Amino acid sequence: MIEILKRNKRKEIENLLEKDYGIKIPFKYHLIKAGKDKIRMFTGNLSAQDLKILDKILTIDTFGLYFAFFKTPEFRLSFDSAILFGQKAKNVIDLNVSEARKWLQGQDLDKITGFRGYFIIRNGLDILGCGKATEKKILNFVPKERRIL
Amino acid sequence: MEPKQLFTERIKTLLGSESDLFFKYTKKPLRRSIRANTIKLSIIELKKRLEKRWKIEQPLKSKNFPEAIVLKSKLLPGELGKSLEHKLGYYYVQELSSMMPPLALDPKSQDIVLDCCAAPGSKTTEMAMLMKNQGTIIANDVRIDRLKALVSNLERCGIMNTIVTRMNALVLCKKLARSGFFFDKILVDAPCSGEGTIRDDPLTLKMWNINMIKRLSALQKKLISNAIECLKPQGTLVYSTCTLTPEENESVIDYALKNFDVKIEKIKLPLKTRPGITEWQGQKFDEQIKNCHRIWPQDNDTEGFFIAKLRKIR
Repeated sequence: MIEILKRNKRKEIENLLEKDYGIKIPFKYHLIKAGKDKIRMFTGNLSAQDLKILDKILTIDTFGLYFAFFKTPEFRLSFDSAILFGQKAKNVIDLNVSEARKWLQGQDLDKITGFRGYFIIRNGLDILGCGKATEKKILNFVPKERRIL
Repeated sequence: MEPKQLFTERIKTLLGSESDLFFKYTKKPLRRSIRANTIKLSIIELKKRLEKRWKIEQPLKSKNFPEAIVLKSKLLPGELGKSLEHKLGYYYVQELSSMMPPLALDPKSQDIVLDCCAAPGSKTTEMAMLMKNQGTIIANDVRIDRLKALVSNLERCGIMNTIVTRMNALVLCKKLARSGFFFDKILVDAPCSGEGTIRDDPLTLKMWNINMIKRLSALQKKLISNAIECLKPQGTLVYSTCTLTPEENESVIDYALKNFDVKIEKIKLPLKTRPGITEWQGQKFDEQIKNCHRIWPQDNDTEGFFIAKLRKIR
């Protein structure tokens, strides 16, 4: 059964988005739990009630876009939501061309950032998803089908 | 691969002396085209980037659709799908004529839209772009393999206003109508014999047979009937196929006109089109069918397509 996140949970995510990524966006959309730890964002103009009815009568595969992996304390934006919302981010790690190439091949990067936690990854104007910095490394989360070989 | 004799005869009946030109075009490689995905990147930015690598043109820019881009450079196989811009969802590889059904439907950001046969998602992602990721699209397909491609393309293009369902479209429409769930706009891009795609996939000629056309025509009539049932009064439905056979096109629209309270809407498309035919093999169709659109490959150097827009009166 569909689980639409309530206001307090949405607020928690809104705060995490600002704290972890420096992204401030007003959440007027539905956030829907998908599986155990995934959250999807649906910007459609249907009410929560409509979504519940549809969920009951139809075989639904997905609602909206895969937005983030969220398992406290981990909050990782998906590749595509990072691209969509990352332009407004403050917590960004910039890669040079050769690092970006490795990143898009799916490799973790040996890069001393001095930071810890999740960051938006950028090369020039392109947002390349998000990564987890561990002071000396950036762990890669580029999905396989989006990698460049 | 040479077309079957019956196929050739039918095209000759439809086009007369022009059929030679049609067959000449079917042997010509298809121009490669893409559609800018403005949900992720502006057309200006995309153009700047693509021009560093390829020679491009925007053939429909003067007709208010600058998103359509044709690649003039010679491309390696799969090159468009492997680029960084594709991986980041900045564009969708889509044939020009396939961009027309969403333009005909003209979905707005407040609309609730049903896409009955949505996979792999070229038209769904185009509609979501036209709707600025607002409104709602229910995008359906029955086949799991095709559904995976649909979901993957929706994610890549950053589409957030869409609900994906995996159902037989006939059952889906019935359930929606029974639950009182009606749509402002519906796209029925019906499964078809694909005569319009032979430039891209010559194997279509091998598969082609008249019994398949009869079977598909019966299915298409059911599809359009069920879709009309879940359309709001004054709502609009676009029926499209990538085939040229009248049984799968004009005959289906004629059936809808005769059995439902609908009329054909006149529309303008940014490609050259020809009117629907009003007679085929002794069967006379409703005169309104002249307002349907046939896209012939030789007219725009594209694939072939058929598009009709219906409005539900009550």
